[in-house]
Amino acid sequence: MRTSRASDAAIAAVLALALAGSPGRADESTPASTLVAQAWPDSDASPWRARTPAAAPRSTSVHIAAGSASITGAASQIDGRAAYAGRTMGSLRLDLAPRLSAEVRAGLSTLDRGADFERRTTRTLARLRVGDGERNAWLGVAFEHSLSGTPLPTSPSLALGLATRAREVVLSAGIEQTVERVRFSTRLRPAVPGDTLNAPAITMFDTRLSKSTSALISGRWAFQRLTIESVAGLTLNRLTAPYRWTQTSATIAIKPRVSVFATLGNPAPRWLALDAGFERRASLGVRLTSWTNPAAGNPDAGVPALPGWRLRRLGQDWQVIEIRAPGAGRVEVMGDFTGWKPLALRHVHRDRWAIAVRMEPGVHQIEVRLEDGPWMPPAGLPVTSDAFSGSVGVFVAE
Amino acid sequence: MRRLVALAATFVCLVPASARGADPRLATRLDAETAAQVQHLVDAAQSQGLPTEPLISKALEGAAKRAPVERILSAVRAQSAALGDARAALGDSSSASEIVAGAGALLAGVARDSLVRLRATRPGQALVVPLVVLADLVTRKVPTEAAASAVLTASRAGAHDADLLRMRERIERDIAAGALPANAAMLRARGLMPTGAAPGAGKRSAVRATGTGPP
Repeated sequence: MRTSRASDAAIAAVLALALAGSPGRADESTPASTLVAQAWPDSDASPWRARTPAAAPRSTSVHIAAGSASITGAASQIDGRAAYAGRTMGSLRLDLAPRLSAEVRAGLSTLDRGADFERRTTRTLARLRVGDGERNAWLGVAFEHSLSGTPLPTSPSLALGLATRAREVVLSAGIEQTVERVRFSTRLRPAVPGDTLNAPAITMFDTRLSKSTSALISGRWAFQRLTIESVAGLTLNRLTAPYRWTQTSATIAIKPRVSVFATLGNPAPRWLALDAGFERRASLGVRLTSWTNPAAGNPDAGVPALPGWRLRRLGQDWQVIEIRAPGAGRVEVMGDFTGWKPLALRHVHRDRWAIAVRMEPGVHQIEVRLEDGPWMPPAGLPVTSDAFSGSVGVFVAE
Repeated sequence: MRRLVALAATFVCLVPASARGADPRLATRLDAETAAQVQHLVDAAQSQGLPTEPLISKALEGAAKRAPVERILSAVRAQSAALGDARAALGDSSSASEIVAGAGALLAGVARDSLVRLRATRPGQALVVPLVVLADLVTRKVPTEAAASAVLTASRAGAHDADLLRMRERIERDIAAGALPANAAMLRARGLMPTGAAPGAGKRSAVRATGTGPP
């Protein structure tokens, strides 16, 4: 099931980004303006050797994400020759209804191992998501097209999954179909007519494209500076034995915008069009991001500023509340329109959180809370006394 | 069968709410004793024909903020009193929405007399939006007299609900840009008047002349 190890670093970076993403999101949106640099030590069956400081990096990668677009580049040495891999992705998300959104992702992957191997693949993924930031499920369909190299099957690949969140813990599970370049072996025993002796068996290796199905489950726990995430999966196809893989990552924020992370395990057999390899391994990386972790700053940084807000009419009696809360991992609102019950917002993009709520036109009251902190009126709203020795934000829904 | 259903519905309406038990939201969010006391206030308001939803909402707000029982009851009483005052000012024929909006304006600091004048300005027309705008302006630190004057001026000039909402938006923008709330309210209300009544002004030039920000 392996075609090249040149893309290991790219895969590592992509996985690491997914693993070391900002806390508090039960979906797969990535923080914007992120730079990830990571080095894989030499591949080896023993993860312990790979973790020794003396192990020289064999591949390096850089991942940059800005808004809904990202680009990943990796360089490696394979059999003494340089190999390069790259991937660029873009995504678009649309809120169709209060608890229904659609997402389209498209990307191009390239792998260049010199004169003997080059591959370019596009992948387009459409996904429909139902639910909110606490619980959601999604159904997706992906199409892949080969721009060079062996043509890929034209039939779509399906994907489905669900995610749930309970405070700092996010759990998700999914099943995804992909088209894999699978390497398999066949043992042949030639039979010569009239020959009574057993002929020696011949092992033949072949590579074919095969649709594979991966089931994976992942969990993430974030607390203060530390984020730990683990993902495990089982990949099945009709040509090779089942492949089990698991990977764990720990991220520590050393500054509000700088994190270091370490990853250990054997990665998924494939990340889109790139081969991951089988060996267990460890890596170390640095992540710079506009997504701040207040716990890593000075004590005052842990007290978030008043979050800004915006109200957008969605339809008859439906409004979308948007809150801008830089560095927040969890945002909740409550008001007369929620029966004064806290309502968790869904992370949309960068520092933006949103939720669609039903409310009649008129004057309403609202308060917002970050990270289970104190309730406060959103910035920019007029405030009035709430009759309980506090204040509340007041707005008009039209 | 229909008679039976009608009879049952009549019976349910006639039986006091307290006899039917507290509102389930109160029962689940407040302790039994507090819920019963709030329900008593709610029933009293209902017997006077006042809207009760604001009272329940206020109690739930207090519960969410873990306010002391006395504070919750006091807030509910104040809300109930404001609803009664609003109806008295707006007239017995006022709709529930108008009474709720009027109570919000009174609690925001608007004078009762302003509500009376507003009713007189728009007899027979819904006052929900003018009252909402009035309460919003006062919350935005527009002096109560200036806010009432702005809404009354606009209403007298024949401004429709949509015009009032646009005026509110513009005042909000002006204030956010640094305008004095009273000036912003006055200028934007003047902008809704017929051209002859607002000589040359142009909302933009007037606001810019005071150095208060963009239109």
